[in-house]
Formats: sequence, C-alpha cells, structure tokens
Amino acid sequence: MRPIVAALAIAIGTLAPASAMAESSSMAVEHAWARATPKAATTGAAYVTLVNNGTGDDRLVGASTPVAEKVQFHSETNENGVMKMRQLLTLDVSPAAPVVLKPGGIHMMLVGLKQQLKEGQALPLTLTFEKAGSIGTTARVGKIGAMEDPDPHADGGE
Amino acid sequence: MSRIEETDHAGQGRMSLHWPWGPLLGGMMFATVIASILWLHRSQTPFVGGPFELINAATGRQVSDQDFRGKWLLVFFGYTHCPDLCPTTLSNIAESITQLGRLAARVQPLFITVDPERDTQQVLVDYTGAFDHRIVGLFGSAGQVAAAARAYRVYYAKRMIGDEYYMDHTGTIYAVRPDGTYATSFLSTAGSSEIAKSLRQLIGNDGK
Repeated sequence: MRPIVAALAIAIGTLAPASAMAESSSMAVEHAWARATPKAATTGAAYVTLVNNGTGDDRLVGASTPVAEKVQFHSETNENGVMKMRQLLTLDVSPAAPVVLKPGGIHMMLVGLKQQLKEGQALPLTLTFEKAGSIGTTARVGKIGAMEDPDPHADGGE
Repeated sequence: MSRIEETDHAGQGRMSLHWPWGPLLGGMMFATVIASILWLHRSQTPFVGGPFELINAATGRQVSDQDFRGKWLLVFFGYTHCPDLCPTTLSNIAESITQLGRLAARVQPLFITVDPERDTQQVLVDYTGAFDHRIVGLFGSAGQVAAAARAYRVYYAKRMIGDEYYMDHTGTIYAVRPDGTYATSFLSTAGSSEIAKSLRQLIGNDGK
C-alpha cells in the first residue's frame, strides 16, 4: 500500500507545475523548499508561499509527502526568550496577502521522516485546501540551516 | 566672658548638630546606593554560566566547565528534534566561527541538549557534525542537564503535539570568557555576522 501511495505522490509531485496552474486557478503554491536534515533525524521542515489569487478566502487544511509519516503546521513563537512551538490545524489564506511559511515563523513539520533529506533533492509535497482542493508541488531541498528557497527564481511550485 | 564662651559653645554645638551631618549623611546614602548598584551589577553577571558536568558526545567522556577554560565559549541549549529554530541558530554559529578565520581556534561552540531522553551520544554527534565539526554536543543525565540549564538560567519543558513531544526552550546564545565568566548573549535569531563581529571585538579587547 505504502509504495503505491508514495509512487502516486511522486507522480503528482512531478506534475506539480501543471497541476498547480491547471487544477486551481485561484491558489498558487510558490517557493516550496525544505531544509536538509542531519543523519538519522526523524523530523524536518518545509516551507511554501501560498498566494490566493481568487476573490474568496480559502484555508490550507492538510499536507502530505511520501518522505514523512505526516506533515503538520507549526508556528514558532518567542515568549520572553523562550522558543515555543505550537500546532496550527489549518492556515487561512485570504486574497489580501500571501501566506509565507519561513524559518522562525510557520513551518511545515515533517514528522517521522523516512529518509535523510539531502541538499539538491526534490521532494513531492501535496497541499490540500478547503476550496482549491489538492495541489501538488515539489520542494527543493536547501542547506541544513537554509533561511530561504535555494532557488528563489524558479517558478512557483516548480 | 563666660557668657560669650557659653554662646560660642552653644553656637558650635548647634553647628556640629546641623551643619556637617546633612551633607555627610546624604553623601553616605549616595555612596551606599552607588555601591549597591555596582555590587548588584557585579554579583549578577557571573550568575549566568557556571559549573556544569556533562558528557562530551564526541568522546563519551565526562566534562565540566573547567575543561573549557582558556577558550571563549558560545553556549546554546536546544534539541535535535527541533527542525526550525535550532538549525537556524546552529548554522549561524557555524558560519560565524568560519567568519572568524584564525580567531576561531580560540572559540568553542557548545550545543547542550535539553532532550537527553532522545538526544543520545550518536544522535548528537550526527546532529552537530551536520553543521560544523567544531561544535561540541553535550548531553548527560536528566539531573546533569537540569543543573547546566540552571547555571545558564535556561528554561525548558516538554510540550506534546499529537503523539510526539517537542521542547519549549530558551533560545539565547551565551558567550563566555576564557575565565568562565559571562561575556554577552545573542538572540537565537542573531545573524552569523553579528555574532562574529561581537566575538572579534571581545577577543580583541581581551588583549591577547
């Protein structure tokens, strides 16, 4: 079952640019990237920029990747110097402003990593929105402590 | 004659009672306030950083703060299951010591885990090594880690998210002088050039 799901996810990931544009005219997933992980790490982080080109509000309700057991949305806050992570079940994406996931803010937590993420790899990522449905994309893997998309000039989702 | 003497005497008595004591008392109070401020200042700074006994992940040997005397320390508490903040901080620390060039030999970055349950020796070696081999990972028993965190006034606590736990933890990076006293601190988000610049100044002022 798992290899089939993984293969399917990879297939969707490969079709990312086309599907991002064709399946949903209102939601664009841009700058998908992830950080390389240390050997044997069981968690990783991925980031995207969500642009709602439609007229109504939408909401990111889930994400998945074949390389991790699950993907959660976490926010990182600094309370008097103490860093605290909290889970966000959904992320509102209004047409007013893009939602930028970035280090030190909101990140996609890859929980239960099945493999080490290495710089230069591309990992398939599927985001599910309440209205726009599922959108596949490919996250570029940057350096271990990368602070931004390793290829910011690549088109969104490519 | 005797009346004058009396008057003079009385006058002197009044003067000795009112004139010198006001400024004198005022001066003494002023000096006390200044002294207490200085004392508080001096006695507070060494409280950050202090004795610890942990295990060096690279060697598996017990180490104490004394073993690092003679080196400038960059001390950061974190945990390896932290995918967002800790990699940012550790890569900034790694980058900052690279920017220091030859001075880097006088700086020892330490990564102390606040999650000794999962951050065992090999996990720590793999983790710190992924950023820079000059970063030494330290772990220990729950009690040893708690004592080290107390010395640095670092707070940490488990937080459950789903069926996994993560750690809330103080994200400050501490710089410690070669004699073991506290020098300065940086926010966890401090950039590598900010850390390198500050260290270069500190080491330069050290006059060695």
